[in-house]
Amino acid sequence: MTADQNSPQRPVALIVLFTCIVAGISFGPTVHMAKPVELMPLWAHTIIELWSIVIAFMAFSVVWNAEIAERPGRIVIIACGFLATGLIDVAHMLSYRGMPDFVTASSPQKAIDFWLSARAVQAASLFLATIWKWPAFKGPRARVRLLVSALALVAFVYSITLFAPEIWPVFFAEGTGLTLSKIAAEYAIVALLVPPAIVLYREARGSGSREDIDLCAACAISILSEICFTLYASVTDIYNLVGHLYKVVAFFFFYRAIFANCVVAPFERVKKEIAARESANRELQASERLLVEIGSNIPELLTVRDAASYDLLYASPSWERILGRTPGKGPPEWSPMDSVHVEDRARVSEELARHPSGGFDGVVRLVDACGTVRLVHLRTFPVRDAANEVYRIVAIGSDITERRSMERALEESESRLRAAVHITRLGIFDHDHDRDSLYVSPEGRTIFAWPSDEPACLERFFEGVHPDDKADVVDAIRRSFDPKGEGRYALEYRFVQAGGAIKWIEAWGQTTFHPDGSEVKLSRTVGAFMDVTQRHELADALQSLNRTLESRVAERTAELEKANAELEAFTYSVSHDLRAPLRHVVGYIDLLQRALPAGAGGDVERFSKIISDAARHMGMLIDSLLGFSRIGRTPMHLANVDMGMLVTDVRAELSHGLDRAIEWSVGALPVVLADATLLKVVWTNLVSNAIKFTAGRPDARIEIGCTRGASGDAPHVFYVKDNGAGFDMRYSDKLFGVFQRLHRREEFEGTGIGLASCKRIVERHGGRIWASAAPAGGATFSFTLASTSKAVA
Amino acid sequence: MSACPGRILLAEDDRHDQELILRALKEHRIDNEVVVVDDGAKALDYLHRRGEYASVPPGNPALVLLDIKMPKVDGLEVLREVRATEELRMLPVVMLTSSREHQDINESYTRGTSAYVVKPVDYTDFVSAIGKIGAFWGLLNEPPPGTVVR
Repeated sequence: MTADQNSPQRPVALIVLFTCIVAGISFGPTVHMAKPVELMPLWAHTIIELWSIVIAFMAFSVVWNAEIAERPGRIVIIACGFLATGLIDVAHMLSYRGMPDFVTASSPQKAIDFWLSARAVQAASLFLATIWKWPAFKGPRARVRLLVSALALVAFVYSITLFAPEIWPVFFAEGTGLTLSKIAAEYAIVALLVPPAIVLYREARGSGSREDIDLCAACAISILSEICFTLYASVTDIYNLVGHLYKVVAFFFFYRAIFANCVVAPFERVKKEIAARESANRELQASERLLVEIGSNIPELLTVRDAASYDLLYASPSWERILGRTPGKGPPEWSPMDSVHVEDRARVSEELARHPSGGFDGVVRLVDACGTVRLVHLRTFPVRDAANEVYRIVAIGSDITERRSMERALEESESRLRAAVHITRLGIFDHDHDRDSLYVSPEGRTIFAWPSDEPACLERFFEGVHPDDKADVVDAIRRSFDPKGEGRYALEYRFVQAGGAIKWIEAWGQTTFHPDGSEVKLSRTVGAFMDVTQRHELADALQSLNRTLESRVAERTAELEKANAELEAFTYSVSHDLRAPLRHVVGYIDLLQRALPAGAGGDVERFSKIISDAARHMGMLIDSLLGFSRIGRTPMHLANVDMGMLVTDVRAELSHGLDRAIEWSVGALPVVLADATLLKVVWTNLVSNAIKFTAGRPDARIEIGCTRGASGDAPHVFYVKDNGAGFDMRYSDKLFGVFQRLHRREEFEGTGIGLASCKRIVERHGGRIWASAAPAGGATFSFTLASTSKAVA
Repeated sequence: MSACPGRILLAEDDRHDQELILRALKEHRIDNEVVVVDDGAKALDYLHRRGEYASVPPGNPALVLLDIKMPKVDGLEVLREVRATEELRMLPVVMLTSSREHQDINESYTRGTSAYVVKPVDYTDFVSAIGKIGAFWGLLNEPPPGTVVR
């Protein structure tokens, strides 16, 4: 069936053509009137009638047997009408002149009786079918009733025409042709056909459907056919032939409409349904495939359960992948409860029960096959069908174990950074060049004294930089914007807060770049800065303190120099002036003694000797004191000194003229870095003391030696040990003081300055001197020099 | 005793020392003419034959005994000027002083003293020392040219 056939133009054209033919025959040259021709012989009539009968039966058969649940009422009525028409047409065909006897003899009257009955039944059925909008005939009862009525009508027509033909008026007179009754009957039939034709025409125009057009065309052609039958004079003339042919064409249109309605349309419907179902199936399959693909690729744990039975319908492969097992199946619990951590089970089932049709949203601990706990964010939601009924529950669980631990690590690292920034009061800034936005951290805002609710911007920052430092800051930042450089800067500058307070700030920045086509563009500058005002203040304070200290040191040095100069002058004066009176005392006493007359000795001689001795002793004291003072003042000349040789010299000098035997024991002595002159004084004092204090002993023994310190760096310890008078250790602290004596001068000679000199010399060498002894048990004097006093090569 | 005893100039501010030195010389029978002056200024006046010593006949003494610490001009200053003066620079000068200070000894030798003697406190030692100086410089030593010999 093509669209072309569907168009109403064809039947309309056909009707116009048919009308023209009829008109042409009527108003054309009346050749046929003059010379009647046998245009429709018996065989032609029989074939034509058979055609229409077959079509009528086929139409009925199609309607009656069509496998459709609902038959349109109009079609059923028309079909039954056609069955009746066909059956009556059989009788009409058999009654045609020249046909063998059918119950009674054939005659035009008999044929016209049946003919008009058939046409009337046909027109009436059409009228009936179209005059009312018939509902569909659902059950078989209505159509059986209709069929029975049709058959009854046929039986009635047959019986009166065959057995009481006299009832019919005369329709045909041999020789004169059609009677008026016949023409009237034909017009009545035409009138009966006009309303269906109009109704069908309207419907065809409205719907444009082929059945309606066919039905309308059938009606129109039927009318034309009937008009032909009003015109013919002979049963075999042209009008009769055209009328019969039109009838066949009309029947064909009826049949086509019925066939289309009862066979083609349902078939089309079924075809459409099948196609729709197939496409739906394809879509379903595709969506199922998609779902399975999603399910097998989805990283989340996906389960689908039946909303009513909670039966597990689907579990994604991720269950196996992540937890090494699939969730528990079936009621009572529809959650994968056997995978839930024991401690979470009560809470989870409670919450799931509260959301029976989805809506659960929470974090659940799931345990995998190995017993490892995974954190899963589980959500359930319902799936609704077309009727908005929940029929599936879908659960999606995301494994957030790693994310959670990463989040926690991130949080920890962030909090550490925050704490560090807070503790150090480090300001952070971030300048996004693309958006030209500046971020300054709360600590940074505190340093700049910027309120937290006001926007940070570069202009504002530059406004605050101290005018004297602005050029440096701008220069450093500009240099860091050079893509060829490292993008880094570190600088110190002053910042003037809104309140006028000046802060010293140390800042570091790093600019990053990104390529933009052939250019390199600034991306962002991130950095940190610190308030170092306190440091600067401290440095300033320290500097001023240093200056004060320097001047104080200079002051003290000057004072000391002055004191030294005074001491020098004092010593000089003592050296020159104190000894002269003594010399005079001694000198004049001597002169006095000489002036005394001979024999005037006695007390005078003794007294003058005492005066003379005292003065001499005082001279010695002064000399010692001056010597002692010199030891402290003369500059040190450090050189390698062979202690062994020094001790040998000293021993030789002191033993000279000694009138008693001393047992000497001198150990090996090292070479040291020291002042030889001063060290000789030390050795002389210590050795002469040892000689002096062993004076009373017949077995005098003096031991001189050196012990190395315990560790490599420890200094040598030199000692002089004797077995002489010794001393009481209780007074050992007095030994090294000036003019401190532990023995009376009458017992042992001495000025009491020797050990004080030793102490001063040893201390000038960075060493230490000490003594140990017991009364009458001998004494040991030990000293060290500084550890740096090792000989230099 | 001596064949040619030259003059000795003693510059000493202390009267007692002057007496003791003169006695010591006498004790050692050193009979050189001894001119005693009380301070450095007078010693220089004498050597330059000026002021109160303008009438002194020309010719240098055989020995100058100089105390260091003296009023007006001290012994070291006298020594410096003696060595700086063409006619006096070869004059034997012995520093005779109480001081044993290094700075005095160093300074004296730097300025060209002929000898440096510390006056001993002990009178016997003192006499002995003075005697030896007198004997050596006044008698034994051959004086430089320009020395007045009696």
